[in-house]
Amino acid sequence: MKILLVCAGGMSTGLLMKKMKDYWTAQGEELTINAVGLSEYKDVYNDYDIVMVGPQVGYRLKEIQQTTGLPADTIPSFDYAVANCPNIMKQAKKLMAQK
Amino acid sequence: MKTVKDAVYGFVQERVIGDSQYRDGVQTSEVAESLGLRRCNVSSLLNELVRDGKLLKTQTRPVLYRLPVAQEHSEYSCFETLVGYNGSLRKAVQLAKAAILYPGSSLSIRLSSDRGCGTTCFAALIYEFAKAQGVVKKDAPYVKVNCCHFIKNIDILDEILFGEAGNIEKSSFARARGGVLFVDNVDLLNARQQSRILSFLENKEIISEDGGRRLNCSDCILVLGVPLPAASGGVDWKTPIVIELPPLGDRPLLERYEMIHAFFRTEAVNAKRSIELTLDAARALLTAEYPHNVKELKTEITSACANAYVRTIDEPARDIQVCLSDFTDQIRKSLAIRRGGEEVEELLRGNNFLYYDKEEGAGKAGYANCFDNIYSDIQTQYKELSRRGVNSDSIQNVINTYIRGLFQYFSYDAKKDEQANRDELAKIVDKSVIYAVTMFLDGLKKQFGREYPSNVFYGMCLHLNSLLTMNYVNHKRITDEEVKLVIQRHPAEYAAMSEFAHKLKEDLRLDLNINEIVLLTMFVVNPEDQENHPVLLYAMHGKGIASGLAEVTNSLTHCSNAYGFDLDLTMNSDWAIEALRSQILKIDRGQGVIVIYDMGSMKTMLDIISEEIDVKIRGINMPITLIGIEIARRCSRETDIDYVYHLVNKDMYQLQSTPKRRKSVIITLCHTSEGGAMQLKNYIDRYSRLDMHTVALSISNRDALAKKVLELKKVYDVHAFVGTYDPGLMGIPFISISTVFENRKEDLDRVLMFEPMHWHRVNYDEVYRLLEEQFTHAPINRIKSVLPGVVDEMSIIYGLDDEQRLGAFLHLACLVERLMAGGVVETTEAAGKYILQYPEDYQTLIKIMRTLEKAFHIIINDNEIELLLMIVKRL
Repeated sequence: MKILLVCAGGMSTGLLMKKMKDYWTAQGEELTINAVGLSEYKDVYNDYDIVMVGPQVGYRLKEIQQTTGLPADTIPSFDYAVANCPNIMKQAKKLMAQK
Repeated sequence: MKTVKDAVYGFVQERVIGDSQYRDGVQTSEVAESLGLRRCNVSSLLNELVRDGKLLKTQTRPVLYRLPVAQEHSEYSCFETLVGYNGSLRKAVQLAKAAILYPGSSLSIRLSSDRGCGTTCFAALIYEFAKAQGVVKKDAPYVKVNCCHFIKNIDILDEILFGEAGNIEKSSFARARGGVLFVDNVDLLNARQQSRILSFLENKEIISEDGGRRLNCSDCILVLGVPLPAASGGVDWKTPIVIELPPLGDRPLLERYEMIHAFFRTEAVNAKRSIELTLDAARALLTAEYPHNVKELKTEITSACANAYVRTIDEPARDIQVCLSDFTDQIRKSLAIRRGGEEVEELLRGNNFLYYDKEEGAGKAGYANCFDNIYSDIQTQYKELSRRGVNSDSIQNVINTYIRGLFQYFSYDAKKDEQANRDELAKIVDKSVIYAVTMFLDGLKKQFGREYPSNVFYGMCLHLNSLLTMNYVNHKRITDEEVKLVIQRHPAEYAAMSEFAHKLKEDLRLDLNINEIVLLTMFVVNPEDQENHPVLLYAMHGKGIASGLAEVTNSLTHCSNAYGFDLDLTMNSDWAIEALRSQILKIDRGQGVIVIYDMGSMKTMLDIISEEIDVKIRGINMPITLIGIEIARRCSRETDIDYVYHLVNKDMYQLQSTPKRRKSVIITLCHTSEGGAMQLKNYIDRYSRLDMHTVALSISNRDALAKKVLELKKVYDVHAFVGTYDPGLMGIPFISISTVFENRKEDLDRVLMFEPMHWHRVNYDEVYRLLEEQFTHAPINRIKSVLPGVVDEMSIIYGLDDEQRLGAFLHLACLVERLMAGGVVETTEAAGKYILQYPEDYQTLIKIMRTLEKAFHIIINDNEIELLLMIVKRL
């Protein structure tokens, strides 16, 4: 599974990224993941299956979907803030299914 | 106070009546020597007493002073040593005198009372009185049989009371001939034994079991002790005289006070040390309830004195200091559950502590003391142990155990769990540490009027103990920043802790550096971790109503957070306010007090108090007393029950629907910028349908704010503060800005009316935990204290929704971490475009970010600001 995380500067999603890596490994799933800011995502999205967006930039979701043409969704703020990986994995799998 | 003159008079009385050697009178020199006074002073006092008609003077040389004849046998009696002989026991004493002095032969007496009311003591005095009056001889026998001691084998009393092997010559009755026989707890005897005593009461004869032999014992004065419940329901003991001793609770407070004095004097004499009693302890003793009456009071005092004695056992020159913590939980808790009221305060007024001199009480105590030797016992044990080389701390342990053993007999009530826990604790932690911490927290509780949960106590004890035993002090556990923060925020607590540290250095030779002191301070502040709750106070007119309600509430909820304030009808209002205020201060746990009151006057008092003190007070009017008065009045005039019923119902309806006179106002507050408060005001004005005024204030100076609020209060009822921080003024409720924005606009009015909302709240603790785990540079504590305010401010101005708020929160947290780690954002997709496009917002954000820059010593560049701009403006 290849996930691109997008937030304003790629910082807070970076925090989430580490947690997700650990969790995916623990679950025995493969994961390629990267966290980028709004300014970068256009350059890198080609290498990923899905896009997950931080809640603070959720208002840009539509634009991201159109630009990338990939399944994309905003991570619910609560799951995001506490890095609730089980929920995020569920969400990611749902997005994968749309691909 | 007893004057020297009284002392001289008393001494003459004692000598002349009590000692046949002085039947004819006492010489001046004897008085002077015995009392340690100067001869010429005594002489002038004696002459004064003669002029007063209290003494007679012989014409012989040397001059002898004696009592006027009539007095010798009537006024003075040994009963005067009893507290209350002229008060609640007056009738009892009169009856006892009458029974003993009854012409012909003395009458049998039945003493009936609750357990522990002093029957034993009273019976002994009856005997003393009979001796003093010459009714029985000076060496007359006093035979005492307490059936209670034989409760396991009542039959054995056959032998004791009625003679071994039926030999009535050896019976208690025979032995008590010409004297007094006191049989206590006769209700425990079996029917046969009781009937034999009954038959004695009838014909003053003891008849052997087979009826063969009779022994006339009419010169034996029989005193029976019958506990009250049995006296009413059991056998009718046909004694001619029945004396009832009132339970402690029915006796006047002043007598209890005197008893406490008397008992402490006795202890002081026994311990050969003067005793200081703290006022709180005295208050508790006066307020507590004693199911086992005087005996329990006395035991409590002895036990407390012994506890206190152990503390100063190796410093013989020091006074014993008895404080609240020396008493059992039951006594200590009485202060919290009940309040003594005016009377108690009246008694204690003007004292800083009560003092009992070891000399003063000498020879006065007329009470049988089963612990006469407790102090010498403790001393002996102590010496023995130190001779064997045991160190003094372990000795105190041993001795404490010993005391517990001594008092087990008297532990009416199983000791509370807390005590047990403390005992457990004592196995690990040095006694002196426990004592020091107990004293310290007690003091702190008084100083700040705050309750400290037991985990604070245990935590401090264990922490100090580890410092003492592990011997590591320089280990740094908190940063200098945190040290500064704690000291700045909690100067009072820090000061108290420094003082405590100083004491520790003296007492335990424990040297604490500033880091350690701050760490300890965090034990007693840390309001975030400490779950504090509001408490309930019933404030009602009349005796015991409020405390009764509180007791019922507590026993049903097991929460022990309900308190009672009994407002005596005779109490003047100034004093009542004072008492109510101190009660509220005492019970408040930092989250305020909800007061249920019964009359409007109480509301006025609460209003006054809430302006004076910084405790949130909310009153709920339950005019039950007024309704009762109304119904009672109407009932006395009307005959138709339904007429009264409906009239009162109508009145009550009107009472409840009285319209509010004044308009309410909501005050919005913001830390820094005026804009925030203004935005908040606009938000409320726009979405609230409560029709309340809103006023935006943004004064960071508390005094100035208070002044403004006071002005507003003259015109409006201030409904609540809404804003980023709770100014904690005049008990006005506070609604946090986050609560306002965490809920939908449609629910705004419900939030403003304090209705509980089921919004899904983010548990920030978990967020912090995540940050703590991931961050290496940014201090989490500072993030906790600074960041929420910043995000709140951004939310107000830009109306961020829940999702954005949390996102922005995390974004900022990471920003701080990254900048502190040295990372920079070099470019954004807009590349400065938005900054030019939204210059005002750019300025606003820079202003808000200044808080972060200052708090974390970072510089937030324009690229970062532009990112934020995109988030808040949704670009």
